[in-house]
Amino acid sequence: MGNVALNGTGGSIHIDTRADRWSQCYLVASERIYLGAETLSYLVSRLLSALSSDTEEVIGEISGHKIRWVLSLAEGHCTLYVARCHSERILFWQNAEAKVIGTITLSQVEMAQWRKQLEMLL
Amino acid sequence: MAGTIVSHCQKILHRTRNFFRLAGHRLLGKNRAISYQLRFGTHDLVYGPSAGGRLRELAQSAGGRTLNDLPKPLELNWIEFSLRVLEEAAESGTMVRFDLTYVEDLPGVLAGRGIFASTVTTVELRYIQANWERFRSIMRFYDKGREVPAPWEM
Repeated sequence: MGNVALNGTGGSIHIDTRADRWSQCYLVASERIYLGAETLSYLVSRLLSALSSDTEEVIGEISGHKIRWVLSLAEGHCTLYVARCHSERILFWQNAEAKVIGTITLSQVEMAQWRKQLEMLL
Repeated sequence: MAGTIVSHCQKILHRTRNFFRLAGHRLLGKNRAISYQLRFGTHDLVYGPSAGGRLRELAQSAGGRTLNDLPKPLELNWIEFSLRVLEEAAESGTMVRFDLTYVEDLPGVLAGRGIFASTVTTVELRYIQANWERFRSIMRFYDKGREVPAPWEM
């Protein structure tokens, strides 16, 4: 299927959807970091949930923002968390050692674009 | 005389080969049948190497959840998270289904040596082995779709 780039302020998530729907994810900012892999359906449903209502419990705080878990990936064992900040969403990527390795901020317009791109993958 | 003995031996060899070929086919058929019949509980945990998505496929076909389906607390690294989930499973009696099919160098993994000594799967297996009395009742192991004993009890 190819690559999908989900762009935001501070970085992008690139999803490589080639290998029989087991999809590899990269964080692209100042460098390209391999995050891990999961099925395309898992990635799409979890990312869409992060953009919609606050379905998951608040599990902690980063920089004063209340954080909800979004998804975790096999292989690279990176985890994505989301915070709501006014009308924006802030996405935090954590690596396998529980260190924040990247932050992506999404405006309303960018969220709408992500939704459109993700729904096309279903 | 020698010719008769050779002919007799060839017949025995031929029959032996046939026996093992047929037995192998039956065994393979049985394994395949069992792999399709694996059924796990909805809340069971499915552990093992992700193997390019094969662990996810197993959870989708047999049931159960992988670690990626559970919210990871911020403060835990991946190995701490995995071991905490195992401990909580032992406490609550949640079944853990460990797929050994794609574990490479199992003897090395159990001994904690070799190139796979520091993988997440290695740490998980060695943790379960070290605390076997606590985990015995909730653990089930699988290889190529059929249930097998714990690798240290094989």
